[in-house]
Amino acid sequence: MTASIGVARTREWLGRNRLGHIEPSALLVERLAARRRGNRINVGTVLAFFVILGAWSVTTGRSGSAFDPDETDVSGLVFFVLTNVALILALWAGLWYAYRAERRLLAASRTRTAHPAAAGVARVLGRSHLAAVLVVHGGGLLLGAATALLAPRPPDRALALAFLGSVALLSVLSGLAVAGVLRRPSVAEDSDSLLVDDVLRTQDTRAAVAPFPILVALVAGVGSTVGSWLIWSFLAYAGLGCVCWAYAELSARRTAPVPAGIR
Amino acid sequence: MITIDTASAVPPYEQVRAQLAGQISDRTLAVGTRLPTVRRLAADLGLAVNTVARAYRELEEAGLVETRGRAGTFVSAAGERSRAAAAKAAREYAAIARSLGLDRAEALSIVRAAIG
Repeated sequence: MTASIGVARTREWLGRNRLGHIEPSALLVERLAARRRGNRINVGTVLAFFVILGAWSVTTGRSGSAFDPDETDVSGLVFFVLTNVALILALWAGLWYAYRAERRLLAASRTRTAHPAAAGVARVLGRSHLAAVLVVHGGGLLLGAATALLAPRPPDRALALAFLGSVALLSVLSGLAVAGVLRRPSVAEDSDSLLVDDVLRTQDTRAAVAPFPILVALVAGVGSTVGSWLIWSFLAYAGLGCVCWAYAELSARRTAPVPAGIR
Repeated sequence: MITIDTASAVPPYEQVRAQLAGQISDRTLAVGTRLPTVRRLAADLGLAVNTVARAYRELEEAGLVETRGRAGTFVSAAGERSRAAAAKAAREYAAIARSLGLDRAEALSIVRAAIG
């Protein structure tokens, strides 16, 4: 019964990822089950973070909200970034669990399959997503540096510096996560499982570079002085980032499940 | 794609070497293609680093791949040139065999004897 549920879920996942022609193997069923457990760890970690945060807010009498008018602009932003960092660390925890389970599955496999050609981050991520990452992360760093240099008032400068530091921190964490995903050994025993492995690696890489800096820019915009040009800078950046990310997501849905060039 | 069968009688390094050599020969791997690092391929296939290093070394000695320092290991153009030279020599030999009146089986047996 449990096995048939696992096979049904695997078929559903394959269909959703346009891999319906692949027959679910025992390795794939086990692997996707480990992924689901990893996702539950991810959600559990996030929930635990928010419970601790709520308890801390109640005991210290702080609301902890980034939008609290009693909070200073910078502390609200820093608080929000820490929430983003917690989300990234939760993603790491889920992936770490799934990768450990996959290594155990591989140890029992008689055959192992891999690509004979190296594939860099551009190939795994896909060109449109890579462009979106450059706009969101690179653009965020440029915007932070420019606003920190040009902002006339000290509170605005402090906010811009906090934004710059936040984007830099999120970019470093995303980079570390991507490096971990790219280093992960292939989990494949034939061409079908290798294709699934490519799809999972691409999905993990895209999750690792989630556009958190856009959310940070929106919070920074809310924290800016009313009427300041900083608000429009942050909003323009967030708008551009959203358009690029939406384009990347839409083009990924239109094209093959694995970016061209990997296979 | 490279597949390793751990239960096979063929040593793992030979499985890696033969599959890479085959894919370079039939141009599945084009000239200039960067191969995975030794460590990466070893991790992917669950092999020891030395096993993959030996396969790469033999491919390099055969002129099929070349190592460009820290940039990595690439499918070599030398292998392509070697194949072109061998094909030219074969065409010349075939022309001589025809002019001498040798039949196909005899011409091939001479080649086999020469290759050893």
